[in-house]
Amino acid sequence: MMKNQIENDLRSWLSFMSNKYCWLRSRFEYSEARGRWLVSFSPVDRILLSDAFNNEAIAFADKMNDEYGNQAPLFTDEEQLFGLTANAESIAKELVFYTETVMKYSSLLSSISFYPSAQTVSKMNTKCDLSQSYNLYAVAA
Amino acid sequence: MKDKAVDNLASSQILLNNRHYTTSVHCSYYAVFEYMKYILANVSHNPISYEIQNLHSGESSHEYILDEIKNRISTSPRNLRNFCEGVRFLKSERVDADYKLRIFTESEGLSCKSKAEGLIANLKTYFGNI
Repeated sequence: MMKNQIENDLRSWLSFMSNKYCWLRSRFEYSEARGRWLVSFSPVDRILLSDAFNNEAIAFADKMNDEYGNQAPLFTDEEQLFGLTANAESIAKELVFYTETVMKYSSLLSSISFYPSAQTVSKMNTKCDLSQSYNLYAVAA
Repeated sequence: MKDKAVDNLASSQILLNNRHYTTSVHCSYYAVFEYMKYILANVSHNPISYEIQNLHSGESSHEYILDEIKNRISTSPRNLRNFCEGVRFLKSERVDADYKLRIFTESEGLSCKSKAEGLIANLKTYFGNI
């Protein structure tokens, strides 16, 4: 019963966080050996840059510990503290939304070009990041 | 309390040397817990005496100690999160070692001790070598 309740809480929060932080990927599964849900976040290089994400993650972990005590989920980045199996479920922002948004605004961008610097491009190593940048320029236009 | 924390780390190593990997986890975790209690009692700003700390009993006292330490750490949110996750992970290993049927391997026992040393090193970084 508590296992299902925690699962619901986790799914809801991880989905919310993935929508809010489009770069976030979460993997999670229930560990029978530990009797707990295990959650791993990635990528570390983006996590390091987001104080907002880390503050929200701290608050959620505190809430889980207050509610569930020794049953509370354990969290880590890129499986540093514990490993997950290949069966772990993954939650990440759906890229389809960004693709549709880019398509929607692309017709308005005929005379506006975005030339990111090499440094910026090297940091934007996901399609999501680049699409979001195009979005920002579309809104500005 | 600081001496107890140091003793617990030493005991953890002795247990590991004698292949008592599961029981070593208990000592590794309590080294960190006792060091956090020591810090809280001796920190310059807003210390909490052992008497007041001990008013909180049971498993919730561990979260209370961690909460109070967290409130006094000045570092990046990511470092703070890493520290809390490390303590809670080590605590969960200790619960498994003490109360469940789980048997720890050599690498798990060594990993727990290494994590304990890392967390204590973090505390020294955040609060100085009080």
